[in-house]
Amino acid sequence: MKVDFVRFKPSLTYDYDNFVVFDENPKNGEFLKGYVVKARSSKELLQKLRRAKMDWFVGVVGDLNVLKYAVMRWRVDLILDFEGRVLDYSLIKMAREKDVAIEFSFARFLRCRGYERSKLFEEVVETLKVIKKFDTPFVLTSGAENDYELRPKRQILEFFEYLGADVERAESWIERLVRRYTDPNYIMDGLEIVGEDP
Amino acid sequence: MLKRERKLEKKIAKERIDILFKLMEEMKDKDYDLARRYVELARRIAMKYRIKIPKVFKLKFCKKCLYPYKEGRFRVRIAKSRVIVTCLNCGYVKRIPIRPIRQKISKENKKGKG
Amino acid sequence: MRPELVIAHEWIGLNVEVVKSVNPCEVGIRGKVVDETKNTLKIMTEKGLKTVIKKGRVFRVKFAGKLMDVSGDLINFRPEERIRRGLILLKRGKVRRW
Repeated sequence: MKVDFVRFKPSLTYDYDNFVVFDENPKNGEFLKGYVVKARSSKELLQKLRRAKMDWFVGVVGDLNVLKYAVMRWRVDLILDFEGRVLDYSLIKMAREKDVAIEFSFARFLRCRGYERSKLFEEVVETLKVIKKFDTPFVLTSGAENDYELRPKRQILEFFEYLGADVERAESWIERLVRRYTDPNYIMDGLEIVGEDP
Repeated sequence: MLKRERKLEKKIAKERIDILFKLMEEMKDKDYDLARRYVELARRIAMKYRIKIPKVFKLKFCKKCLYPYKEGRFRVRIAKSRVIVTCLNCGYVKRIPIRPIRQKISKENKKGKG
Repeated sequence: MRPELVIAHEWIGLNVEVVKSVNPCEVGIRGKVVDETKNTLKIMTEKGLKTVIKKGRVFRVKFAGKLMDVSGDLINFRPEERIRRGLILLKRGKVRRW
């Protein structure tokens, strides 16, 4: 299953089967709907989470305190990648326990250059090490905001493999996340409906 | 903190007790020890989730050794206005009193007394 | 009845088949569950009574008109404890809920 998480409605699809379009006000379209919760405080987060419909992917954007609070909520599916994201050792450990995925986007590397980019490399390599240690769910995406930032799946995986990510594991995590919202036969890990019994 | 769904728990527990006693009835003649195991499981579920075992099922097994009453393994006698059930596995005697059904005191009688 | 309630419901009397197992001899065991303990299921097959450990196996089971694959790790509790623990698993985990 090839699915990408983006922030706009893509007009060209490389080799992807489907897209999850993240937006603050999800609109109806042919793609899966994602809901970005931008919160400055935990109170705001709770308020916005209440709006989330059942078939929306929920991603959170905010500073470290908000993220720590967000990981605890049942409705939150993933922590989105955005500029100036700070991840904590304990946050990653908590994300494993509460089953919240962490997103790594390729577009963030494209948007910055020079010293900023080298800093970003360092940061991502560090977090990937911690993620490997705790076996936290993580997804590798393009995270594009326009058509020019979109890349084929293979390129993204190759790039992150160079940085030390376990690509096969990432694939299984993303498949699991998408199945939770699209497959009616999937209930939870290790509990699936195989067929009808007359 | 998450709350436990006690209502759903109790509902499922009731269903499970029903199933276990039904299976016990079938199993009684094939495997006596297994039938006892079902009674034990049903009782454990009932105790854990604080449900009464229905009276119909309660009369079907010995309270002490938990073996279900089976043909030839128990004795029933009626004496002194009570039913006496003796378990021949362990010798436990269960006495169930029977009384004539009391007639309701009508309102007129009450008034007359007062 | 909701099909996901298998992990809280009675397994004795259900028809079960072992689909996945560490032990290749156990794959394909099919029959009725006769007894259940914390770690094992006792299955009555045509050839006789078999005891299968729950941990790490996948069971295919008929429940509520559905055929389901259930991982043994989800039911690895004492039979009377499974109601409470199973419901907690369903409530706390990320489960499809509509």
